[in-house]
Amino acid sequence: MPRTALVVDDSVTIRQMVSYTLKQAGFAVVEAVDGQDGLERLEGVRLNGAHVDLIVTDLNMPRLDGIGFIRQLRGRPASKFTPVLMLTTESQESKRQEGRAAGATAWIVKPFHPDRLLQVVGKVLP
Amino acid sequence: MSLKAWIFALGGWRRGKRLEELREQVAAHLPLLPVVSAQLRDANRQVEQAVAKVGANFGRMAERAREGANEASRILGGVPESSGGSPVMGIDGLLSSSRATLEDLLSRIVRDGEVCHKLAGRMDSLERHMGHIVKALADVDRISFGNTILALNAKIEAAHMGERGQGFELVAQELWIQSQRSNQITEGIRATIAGLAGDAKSAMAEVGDMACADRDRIRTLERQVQDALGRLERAHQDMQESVAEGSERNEALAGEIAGAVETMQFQDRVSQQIGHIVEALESMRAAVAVPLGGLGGDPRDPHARGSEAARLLAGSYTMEAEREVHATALGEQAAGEMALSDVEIF
Repeated sequence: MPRTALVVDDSVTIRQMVSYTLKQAGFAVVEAVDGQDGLERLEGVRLNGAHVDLIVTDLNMPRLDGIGFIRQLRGRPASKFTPVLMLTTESQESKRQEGRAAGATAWIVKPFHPDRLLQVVGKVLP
Repeated sequence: MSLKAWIFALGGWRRGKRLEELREQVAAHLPLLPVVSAQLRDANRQVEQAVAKVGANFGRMAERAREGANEASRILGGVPESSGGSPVMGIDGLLSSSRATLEDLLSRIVRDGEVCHKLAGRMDSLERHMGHIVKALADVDRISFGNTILALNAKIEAAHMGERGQGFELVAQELWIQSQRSNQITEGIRATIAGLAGDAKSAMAEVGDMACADRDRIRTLERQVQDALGRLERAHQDMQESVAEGSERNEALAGEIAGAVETMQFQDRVSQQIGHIVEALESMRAAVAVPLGGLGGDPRDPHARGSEAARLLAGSYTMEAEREVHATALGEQAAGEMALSDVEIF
């Protein structure tokens, strides 16, 4: 049974690249176009009796941004401890601190190298 | 003042107030046009760098695809001397060479087997000849036996004849001695022939076995060699077809990459369009700044830097690079946050 990852990004290019990288590493991938869509996809996975092992999310997205998305995730028992990687163009320290306070597990600045992403995944996943 | 004049004056005052508000808005936003232009130029530069990098990567991919196809063909078919490189025997050549070597080896084995077979025949012939000698010795024995009987009879006759038969006795005695010697010699020859015949029979049996066994082994070996060569040739043919297909695919890939590189030249078009937009923005700023009496012409103006519009623009940024461009365009010192690692695990 492969592990499942949720990839949340409003950029179709980044979604495709992250999904491809994770699929190559053996993950089943669910994609969402923003934070709100991400929450709905998570609920869909939960209703199917499965769970998401890893979440990779962008910061700046329409409707619900990455910080708001993580705050809502952490409020749900099913995703309270799921590792969340923030994958963003934002490198400002204050933003990182905001992400950390919201409950992000790691911060990765775009552009990312697939191997580097997988290294981080290897470190945050038990 | 009449009511009409008063209304007219009020209208003029309102228009003037609106114009003043408009002037302030324009004066607040106009200095930001150079900032927007700088952002556009920076975005253009980043796109150009990224496209150039992707183009170079694609170029290398296409080159490697072609190199891979050529290398596979070279390994399978060898490099001809005329190609400039040192001649290398390919699998084609190795197969032909292996076939020739194995066929030569087989023909030698076959020749050796034939020699062995001929040797067995010669041994057989030798045994037959020895049989003839044994028969001849039997004839010599019969003659010798006749001579012995003749010598005995001669001795008896010589005894009957008394003194007159003494000479005859001498001949009889000599005949007896020769007969006995002949018997001894034939016995010796017979013993030698018997030994030779035994040896020849054993040698013939061994050579015969060897020749027969070799013939069977050679036939088996020949079948195995032909079978192995056939399989090798079929495998080689399959590999050649596969390499040819791979080569075609790589060529197609190289073609697609070349197409992608061509498509990426959109960047040049986009770059030109952005350049035109930047020029237009600067021209518009210059044109609008004149009637405003120079207000809004300089983005480094403290009034412009502190405007709500400038704060809104700065607040929209999501990347440190944007903030740096913004600060530079406004003549400010960049915030200068320490460069942090691109990856941080909390």
